[in-house]
Amino acid sequence: MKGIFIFAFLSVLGLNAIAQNDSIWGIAKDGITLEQITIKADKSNNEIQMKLPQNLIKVDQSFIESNFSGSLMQTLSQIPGIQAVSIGSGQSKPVIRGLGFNRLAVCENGIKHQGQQWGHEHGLEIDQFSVENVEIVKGPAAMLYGSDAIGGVINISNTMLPKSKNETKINLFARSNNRTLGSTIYTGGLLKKFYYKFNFTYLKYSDYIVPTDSIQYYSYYIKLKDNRLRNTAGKECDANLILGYNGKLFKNCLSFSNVYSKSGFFANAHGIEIRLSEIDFDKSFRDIDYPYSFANHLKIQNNSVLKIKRSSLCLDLAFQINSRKEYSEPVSHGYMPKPDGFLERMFDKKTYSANLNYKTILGNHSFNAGVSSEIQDNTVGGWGYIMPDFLQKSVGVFMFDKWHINSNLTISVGTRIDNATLDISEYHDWYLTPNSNGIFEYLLRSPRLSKNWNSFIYSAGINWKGNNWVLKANSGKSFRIPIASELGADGVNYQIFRYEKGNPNLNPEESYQIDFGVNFERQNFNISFTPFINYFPNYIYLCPDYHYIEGLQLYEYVQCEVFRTGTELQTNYTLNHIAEFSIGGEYLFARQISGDKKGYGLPFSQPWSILASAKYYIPQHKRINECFLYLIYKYTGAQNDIVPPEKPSEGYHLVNMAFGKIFVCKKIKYKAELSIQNLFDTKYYNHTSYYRLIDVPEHGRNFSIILGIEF
Amino acid sequence: MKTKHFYGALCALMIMSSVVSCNKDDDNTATDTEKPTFNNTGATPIDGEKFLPGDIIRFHQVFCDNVELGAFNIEIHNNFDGHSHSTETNSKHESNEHGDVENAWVFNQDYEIPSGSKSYTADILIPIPADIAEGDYHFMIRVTDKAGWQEIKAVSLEIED
Repeated sequence: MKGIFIFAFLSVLGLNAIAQNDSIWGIAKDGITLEQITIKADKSNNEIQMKLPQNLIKVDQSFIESNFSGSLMQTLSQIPGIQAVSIGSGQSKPVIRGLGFNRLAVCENGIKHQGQQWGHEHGLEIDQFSVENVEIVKGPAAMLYGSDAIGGVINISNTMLPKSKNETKINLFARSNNRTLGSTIYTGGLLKKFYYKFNFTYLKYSDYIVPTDSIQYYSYYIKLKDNRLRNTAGKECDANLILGYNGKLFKNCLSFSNVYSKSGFFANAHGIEIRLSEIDFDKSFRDIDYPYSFANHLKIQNNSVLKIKRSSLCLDLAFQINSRKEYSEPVSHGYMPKPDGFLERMFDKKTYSANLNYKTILGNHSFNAGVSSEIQDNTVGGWGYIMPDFLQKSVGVFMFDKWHINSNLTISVGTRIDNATLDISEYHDWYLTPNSNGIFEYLLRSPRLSKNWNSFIYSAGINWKGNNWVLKANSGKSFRIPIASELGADGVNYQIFRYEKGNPNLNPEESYQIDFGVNFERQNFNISFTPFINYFPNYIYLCPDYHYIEGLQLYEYVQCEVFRTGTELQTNYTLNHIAEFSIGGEYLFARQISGDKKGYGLPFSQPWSILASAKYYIPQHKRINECFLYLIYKYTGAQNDIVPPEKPSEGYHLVNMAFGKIFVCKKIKYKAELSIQNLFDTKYYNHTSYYRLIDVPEHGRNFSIILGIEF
Repeated sequence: MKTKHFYGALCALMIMSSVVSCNKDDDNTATDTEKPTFNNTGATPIDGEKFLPGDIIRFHQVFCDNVELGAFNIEIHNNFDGHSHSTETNSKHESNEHGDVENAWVFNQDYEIPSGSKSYTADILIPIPADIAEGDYHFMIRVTDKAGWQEIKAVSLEIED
């Protein structure tokens, strides 16, 4: 999946360059390279650079705007150290250095985005076109973000002010592989101190094409019609409205957003009795049949900032409702009779968040203290049980001090205390099953459970800046509280054909990590190297057991020690305004060092990879116009460091290319770009793809086109 | 001078981390990454075998693993829709008749394997109920090893008068 979007990503850098009408490396700086690289004598950049001792990556709006395919995470996955766990063509979840799901936090304007992060087949439910900036913290960030941020943070913001009274952007996009057609419209305006912004996105796609004519799934041999993955079509419709006030002392931003998506599950790989289906999946590759999922995320959020001299007080309030429904044809299984209706699973999560943050500058100290609190109220429904209802309340208090010893050296220290309570409701089957005495009863799948945890974490870091060098080091402890499914799951997971059993005695996961960042920049050359070492004394792991329960292999949640290390490397070289070259790579190593699977790695560990790109600028008559040709080559190594039930994945080569043109006429900017992903229609498996487990290769060759207009 | 020390410290830490990771790599050679296997010599039932309702199926199978076997499961389901399993030796014979799904035979049983076994011979008699719907059935055998790897074998049966 990842490789497919390489092109989109790199070409975006190009568009960005053009938009800036600046030196080519200006692009990469504003694009996706580590922010440290951008540091010259500029004071504001310096401030950003010294912002955090962790490794921080910034991605700007034009990068995201031009991503017309797949999802936000698929775009971001081109950054070394960032991956996407993808399912189908429209859903994907972020992974930072091999940690994903509930091990990283996605924040939107300071508020944690709360969906059903634990689920493999659940997407992120954020409209990528409304996103203006993304900051990625590679490494534990629970200090500022609390539980979940144990692996890192993806911090999304859309708080930029419109530049004029009225501005509009329209993008149309299409992809050949899954016949995507979509458009996104933005309009915004700044009226003295008031502003508004409105985004609307609609897109629709069909079943996608893979370079194979058959797959094997749980011993079933499945023929594909016209190489299309049956029923992977979908659609998405998002709207986002922001109303803001931007005063000198007081700023306020109120936003309403709604993200709706409906997408089919690959029909041959969902539900145990799919072979009994009476649906003719091959009648159309455009329709969405059973099984499919529907997800809607509504968010209302208010951010206020009050500035008093050298201090500021921020209050963020938010309310979110994440509704998710999965429909499939009702079938009987085991003792479960054929259920009424098609609703297999329903998750409804309401999240209330409130954060208060005080920042002040005292001498050469930047001091930051805050309280964050959150309530999650989750209800489940449908005939397929996977996790119980729960109510989770958490509150955290933190203090963080950055001591600017001199203009080149900053030391940061912080500490945080958290308290969390989790109340899990009991769940009984809705049908009768004989117990061990042969008496029929409604089996108790999840007992009532009340948990209360406290946690104390800390961190310390250093940032140092020399002539051409920027060095960073950070060490600290992070934590994550167990989620309801880890504690209370007890049933068959039909998507993965296994019996999953929770463990009510799990403790909060802890993580100790040391991070380094070494950056060098001179004129037209830069390089960055970001290694890390990480230790988990009690990683929560869904461990495959050898026993069978109800005919399916048992998987149980356990805790074990895990050691991880890895690095990313990025270099760039620019030849004036003619051409640019870059090479990036990533490497990750993970090992379980205690427990039943001692000596094994962790599931979904991406193999090493290297990406080389060359971009050539075709000379134009007017300097304001741009035209480029881009070629990208990526090699991903084999991954043989596997855990049951993973299969080793072979290494693969991918080549993408693109051609783009941007021109300005009467103050209206037009852009057009044609790109080809997977030029040689290579059949390959992405180790972090969910469908890899069921032998589905990644997308075949794809032609994409984007047409944009801005005024 | 200060900066030199800094570089030195950083390099040392990096080398340390790579050494640590190499050492761990060596430990890894001990992990089991092989699935258990089926030894099909003399295994019954055989693919395409015919039975009558009320007959007894003799299940005979040798399981092997490079380290240690875990458990196995037998599951029998109808093939009234003519689907196929890749593991069948002689699959893809189309079924024309759609049987009576409501009265189809369902059998699903988990079995233990004594711990420490690298190879295990299962011999089990499975009576076919006399009142089940006739037609094509699949006889699925699943086996795990101690590490949690699973292998599956599918055999086609015809249960007809």
